[in-house]
Amino acid sequence: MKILSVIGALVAVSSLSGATITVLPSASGVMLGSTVAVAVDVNGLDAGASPALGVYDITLNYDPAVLTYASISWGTGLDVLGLGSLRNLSFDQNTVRLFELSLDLAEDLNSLQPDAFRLATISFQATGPGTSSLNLMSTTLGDAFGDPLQLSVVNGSVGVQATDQVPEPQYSLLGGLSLVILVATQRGIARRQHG
Amino acid sequence: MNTHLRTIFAALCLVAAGRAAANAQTIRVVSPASGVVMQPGQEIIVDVSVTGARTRLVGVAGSAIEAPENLSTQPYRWQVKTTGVPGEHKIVAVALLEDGRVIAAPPVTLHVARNRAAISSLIADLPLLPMLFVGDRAKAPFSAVLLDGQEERLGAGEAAFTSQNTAVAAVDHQGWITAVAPGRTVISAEAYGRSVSLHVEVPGADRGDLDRNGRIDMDDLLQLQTYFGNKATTPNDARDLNRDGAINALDARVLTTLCTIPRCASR
Repeated sequence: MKILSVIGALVAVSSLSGATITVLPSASGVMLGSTVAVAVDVNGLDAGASPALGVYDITLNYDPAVLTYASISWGTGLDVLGLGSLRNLSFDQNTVRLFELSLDLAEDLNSLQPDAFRLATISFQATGPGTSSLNLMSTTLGDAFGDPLQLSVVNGSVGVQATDQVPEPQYSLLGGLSLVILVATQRGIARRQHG
Repeated sequence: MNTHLRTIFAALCLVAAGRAAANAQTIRVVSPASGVVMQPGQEIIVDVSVTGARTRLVGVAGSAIEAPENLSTQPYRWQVKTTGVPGEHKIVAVALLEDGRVIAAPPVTLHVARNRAAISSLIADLPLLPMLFVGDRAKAPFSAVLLDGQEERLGAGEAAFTSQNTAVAAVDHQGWITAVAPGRTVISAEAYGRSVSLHVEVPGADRGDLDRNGRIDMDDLLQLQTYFGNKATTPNDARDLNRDGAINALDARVLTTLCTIPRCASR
């Protein structure tokens, strides 16, 4: 069986801290033409305590020969009261830039924001074979008061396989199928001989 | 043995350094120096240096000079005439290497002055230039009036700019005015034996009230967002709310803590 060009989500830690921002694709390998959802998650904040995430401005870099941006679904972690936040999405040839600013009071953010939540899910169309890194190139993260927040970054990647490279059936399955056909054929012959 | 090893290592380093130097092909315009002011029609020497490469041809070009012939041998030097078009111009030099590659020199900037006799006066487009906030920048709106009545904006390097009070507004040699602190001052330009000036006003405002409407709200946030990625122009830049020298998302979050309306809502 040809192995999918797979790469897990991991590498590059850009700062040291208990909290992380993780880029996690829904699958490490997908077929050409399909969609892959890339989650950008924050983990390791202190629930109900400072620091909370009050603002972020992050740029996700990808390979446009492999992936094409499709859509975004924003998270609600910076909108703890459900009253809305200020969001902005912009693009470059090979980047998606996400900006979200909480309009909540610092005390509400610090007391109500969970310790882990999703910033956004970005969907890409797999438009070319190969492997695309999914790297956060530029990250500005601030706490509820606008002070800089240091988070470790865990980047990801996704492999795209061309559709003409149809995965071959597993040999064990082929072997089993051959055995069934062989047995059935032999029984048929035996019946005809006895009959 | 150790001495032998050290000698061999040193020799290898020398060879490596030599190869690195040989691989570093560079081209640069030695003269004229960037920023030089020339008179229209003035003859200048353009001197180009190429190192670390064998060249087939070297040439120079630019809107300020009449293009000379390319040269295939050193010295790469030309005597050329500046054109009569006043303003800022670039001169570039390129070399076609023996291996077919082309390398280019960083451009140098020349200022071609106007014919002094063709200027009737200098004027300011506005009597008063209102700056938007501390840290705001604007190009000094000075123009030369020609004898035929045409007005042409004074270019970079064409005039000497001064500020009467640099604690309120500073001006650089290219005529960019920076609002430093609330107040009012005068910015002047001198060129072609004439001078002109205008008033500059820098408003005072509450921290975060970028549009100076007495409220700190969504309009200020959206205005601040348009400056993301810029550097603060002065230590007291009104947009650099956390005073870290960069205007970015962190300043936006600081601004939300200053909003005078719940959730910064203004609409």
